[in-house]
Amino acid sequence: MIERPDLFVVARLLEALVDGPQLKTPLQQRAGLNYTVFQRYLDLVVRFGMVAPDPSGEGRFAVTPKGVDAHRFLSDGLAKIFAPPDPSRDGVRAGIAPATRPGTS
Amino acid sequence: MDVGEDSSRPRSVEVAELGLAESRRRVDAQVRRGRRFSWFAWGFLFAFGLGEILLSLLFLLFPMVTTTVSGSGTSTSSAPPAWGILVAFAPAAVLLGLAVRELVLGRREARGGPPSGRTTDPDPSNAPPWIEEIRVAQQRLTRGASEIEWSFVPLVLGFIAFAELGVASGLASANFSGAGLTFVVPSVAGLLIGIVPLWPLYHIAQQWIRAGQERLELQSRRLVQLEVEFVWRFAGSGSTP
Repeated sequence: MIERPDLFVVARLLEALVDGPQLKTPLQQRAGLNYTVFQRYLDLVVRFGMVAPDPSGEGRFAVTPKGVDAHRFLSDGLAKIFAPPDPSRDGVRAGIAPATRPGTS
Repeated sequence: MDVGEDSSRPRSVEVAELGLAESRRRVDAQVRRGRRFSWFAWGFLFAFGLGEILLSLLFLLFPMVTTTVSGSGTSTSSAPPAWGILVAFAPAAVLLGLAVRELVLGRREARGGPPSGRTTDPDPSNAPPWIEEIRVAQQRLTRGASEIEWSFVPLVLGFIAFAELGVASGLASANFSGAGLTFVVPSVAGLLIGIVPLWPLYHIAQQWIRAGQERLELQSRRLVQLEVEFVWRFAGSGSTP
């Protein structure tokens, strides 16, 4: 059981699935996780209803509409928090700059 | 963290991962600079002490004797050679300059300038969870801040000693005498002259320390908010995963 999910890991796992259903091993490789962590987080996102076994069978996993929403929520949120600071702007002493949104950078 | 391997991936998580890597680099750079600043500050005091010893030796070995003839008679005074003062204190001055440089560059980096140095990003499959990583980074910055603040002790001591030496030499060369002028004036003047120039440096150090800590605190707070909102929206309101 994961007490506090690492949002980066969840985002990476969902991101690896947004292009299409994946088998476990390629999914683990694309998410860049070791097997133990991967299995724990896969169970987590399945339990949350973000990922489900693909109806086509073959042991693939696919992202659900809820998972797509969660991926967008996490990727936007994390990008806003961790966007590199822009030293040319005032008020970035704390190092937090507006997020670089896809397609705007 | 290899984020460029698949161009079909959405870019947002990549942006966040790059930002996380930069945040990691900033913490490393701040800790490294703080350590260098500390070394230079203690080195300054050490070099200053050695300089004083060297100057005393030069004074004994190569005294510059000056004879003054006045109406009341002839008086002689001796002083170390002028080149000796330069040789004795040049290393301390260089180390002081390097320490100030670290302070100024550190503040610039902490305020958003490009961080110096390289950091080896951890293997994503073994990377610690973000909450752990930020906690460790905060601890490292706190330790680094304490190191920076303690480094002002040698700077203050060196500045005071240098100012006292300067004032005492000035009084001696002007032929002032008397216990008050010999002991009290140099000490008081040394304290004032020694501490006043350090105040702006201390202010820069505080800005440097605060900028790094505030950045991490803000990131940590926003991550916790994001986590709470994520759990609330996607994992059901009552159940923490």
